[in-house]
Amino acid sequence: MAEVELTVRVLRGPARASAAGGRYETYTLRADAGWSLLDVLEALQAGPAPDLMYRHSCHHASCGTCALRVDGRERLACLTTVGQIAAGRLGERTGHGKDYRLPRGARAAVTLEPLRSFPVLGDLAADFAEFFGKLDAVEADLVAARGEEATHFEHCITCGACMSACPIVASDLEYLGPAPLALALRGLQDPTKTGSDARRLAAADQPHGVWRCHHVFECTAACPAGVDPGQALMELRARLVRRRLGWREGARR
Amino acid sequence: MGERGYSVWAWLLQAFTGLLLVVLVALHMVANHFAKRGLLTYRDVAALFADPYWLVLQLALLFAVIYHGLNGLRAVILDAGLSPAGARRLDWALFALGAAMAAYGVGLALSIGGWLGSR
Amino acid sequence: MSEGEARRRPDWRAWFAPRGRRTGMWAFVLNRITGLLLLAYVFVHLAVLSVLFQGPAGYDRLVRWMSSWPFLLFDVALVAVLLVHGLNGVRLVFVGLGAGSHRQREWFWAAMAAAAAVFAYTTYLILAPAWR
Repeated sequence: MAEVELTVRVLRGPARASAAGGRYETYTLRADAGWSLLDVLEALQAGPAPDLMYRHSCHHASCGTCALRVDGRERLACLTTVGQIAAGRLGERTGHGKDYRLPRGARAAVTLEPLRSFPVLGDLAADFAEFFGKLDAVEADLVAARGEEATHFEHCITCGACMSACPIVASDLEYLGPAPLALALRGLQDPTKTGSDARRLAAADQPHGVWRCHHVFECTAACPAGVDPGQALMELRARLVRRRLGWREGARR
Repeated sequence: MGERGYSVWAWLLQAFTGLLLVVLVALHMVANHFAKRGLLTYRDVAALFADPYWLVLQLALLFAVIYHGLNGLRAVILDAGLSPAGARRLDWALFALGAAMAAYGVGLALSIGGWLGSR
Repeated sequence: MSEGEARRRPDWRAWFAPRGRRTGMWAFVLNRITGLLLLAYVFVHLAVLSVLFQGPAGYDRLVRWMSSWPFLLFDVALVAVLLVHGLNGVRLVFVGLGAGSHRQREWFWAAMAAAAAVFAYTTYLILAPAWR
């Protein structure tokens, strides 16, 4: 695979209330086009930035730990490859297994920032405590497919990408946000009837619930797991409207 | 803010007034800009507002604009994050502002249409 | 979870931060800005119309003034803002209830295409009388 001379700008800084307030540090390294951003971060840690903080676990898009912003877009570091960055193809879900036919001696530059709308534990590591609290508020703790048919909401890996992409999560701290509301709908659809539907509906139908959504659909665009939280939010809203108008749910489950 | 279902109505009414405004604003623009070449004179306006159908349409436009605009502003302000007490104060302030705009607008429409006598 | 205690602060600048963002975000930014502009215009519009209380002389002087080029261009801009907000708004009513929301990007461009077509025609209608 081709080697790329990669210039990485990293927004660094100690624990703080938001990504803002850090400073950008620039590093240059030679990276294989097949490397993921996790490989890049490890190389930085092994070389010029031994104290660099970031989060990761599984390396294969299941754990939802390594989400960050790559040139302003929410990405899983494990799915994003150097070749993809060099080819300018960040719109694709993953760069793995693709040959971008980079020229010999290719160069690329990329800016890495922690997720937006999350407190920062340090450098690129976001603090998920508030986000997990919102997931708890809608009783999102579903066990995937308890022998029942699974729906795509169960693909949510709670990586926080949608929360970072949403402009309203940034400004209304109480707004539940895309992933918790998508999982609230999933909870309502859960055939095993785990958790309290009344609590989920109450959480969704309050000023900081579905009514704060303004159809930006950046959540859906940012989701690395194909959950489509935007559509889930609209369905949840339609459900609340039908209930209020007294329409029967019909044969829907 | 507390009552359940209140937000459903606010959203539905925002959508409804929005659709209504597309029609009413279009009529308003046609009458004021496109029915004659150029803008209307005082006499044209007075004649329009003396017609009860037009008066009703324009009052509907007025009320729809007030609700849609102020509820839109409310959404923008709520997006910035407000405490429940702050949101309640906001609701009262916007309600008072809307009522004042409605009173002024109705007064204006009735006056120009000659519905208040003495003209 | 034993994570940090830092409490983040509301940041409404995110409403107008389109870096790295896509069509839906641009639609949102446009909708918000045009909405606020239109609300401001409603206040101005109602306030200016108070000259109706002064009878024909005041109003007709105002209308002559408003038939001048700068004001006609203002009207053209106003129509553009109305069309963008109104036709994008029609999209939002349906998308907001889940109808066609997986095609929201295409609906946005369809709304803008319709807005452009109507805008071209109304611009001609507004400016034509001032031509002679």
